[in-house]
Amino acid sequence: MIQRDRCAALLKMHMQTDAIVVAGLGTASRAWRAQQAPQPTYYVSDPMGIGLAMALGFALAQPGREVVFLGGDGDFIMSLGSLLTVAGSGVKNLKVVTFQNSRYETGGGQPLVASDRFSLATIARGAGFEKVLDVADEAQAVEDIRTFLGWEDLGLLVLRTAAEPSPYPKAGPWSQVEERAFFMRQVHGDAGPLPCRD
Amino acid sequence: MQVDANLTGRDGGAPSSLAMQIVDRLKRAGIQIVTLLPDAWMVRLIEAVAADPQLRLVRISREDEGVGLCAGAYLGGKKAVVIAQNAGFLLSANALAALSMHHQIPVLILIVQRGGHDDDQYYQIYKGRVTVPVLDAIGIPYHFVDGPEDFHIIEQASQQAYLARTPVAVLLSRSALVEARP
Repeated sequence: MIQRDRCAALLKMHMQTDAIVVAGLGTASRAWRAQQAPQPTYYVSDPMGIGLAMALGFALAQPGREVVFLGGDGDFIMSLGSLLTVAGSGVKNLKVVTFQNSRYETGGGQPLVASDRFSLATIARGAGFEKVLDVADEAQAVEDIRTFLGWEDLGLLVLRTAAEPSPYPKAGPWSQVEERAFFMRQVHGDAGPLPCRD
Repeated sequence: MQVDANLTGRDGGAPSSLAMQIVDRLKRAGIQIVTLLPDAWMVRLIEAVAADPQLRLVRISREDEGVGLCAGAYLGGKKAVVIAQNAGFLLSANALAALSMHHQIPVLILIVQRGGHDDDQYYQIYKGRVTVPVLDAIGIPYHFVDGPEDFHIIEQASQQAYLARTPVAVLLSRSALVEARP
């Protein structure tokens, strides 16, 4: 198993700096935030399970940009149907990364349902993902993350991460509305993303 | 069971005039992405969306995915719409509250309002009764559309959503979606 901070650092190291990251809630998202990466990142925060659909929406709106969804397995299994939606959409510029530690880290380390037997990689393949990697070894992760981020097509990467303490965080300095405004200005500039009246 | 081809579109007919008018209003509102999960009343509308090269149809597995997808599209600079039965709206209450309302992200939702006086199914009735109270409880503005004379409301509701950075719902009755028998 791999330390989640190491996974986040490797993703930052090999990801295009102009990629867009959509981060679900939980420890995967916090590990990414701690990297202070240059890639514009939208932190979904809540509700669980919605982040992958958001990432798909962004990717469809901006087909010329690489979009990376980063989520934990507890977040991910809330909406496994989204894998079918993503695969069925025909999107090419979306990459899906999930940290799988098989437990609700922030929620006190409780195990996920079927935590001793499920495979997100197998589920993704069954949903129609043709490019899938599943890695639990750090040395292999170095290679696989580079390979994964080099694909010019839809893909999914499962990173098997170690169980680590993750105390519930205090509220950050910015509300979700403020974070959204920062993100949209970072991505679209002062002109904004779209007019209110067409 | 006898299937009403006028309702389901299974006769292979062209998209209805009602459906084409709704699609036209969506495009005038600047909508480019349509996410939907089917209901029998909206089959003609789905056909019209699928046939329109200016619209990107994304079929979803749950309606709250559509709320997330539309939010992502907004962040990326495009307008999108969720079209769903009221059951799908009720299922999406958490996404609408915790994402759309909390993050102040606009989205237009066309809700097929089953379960009213114009419905002939038992199992739709309770959903129909609680849809508007739930919209009120979440704080989502809504408008009723009963036919072509109301279709301009779709454009106005979209503008309201994007100006106010909020979800806005349009409740479509059977007469707005299903052509009357000749």
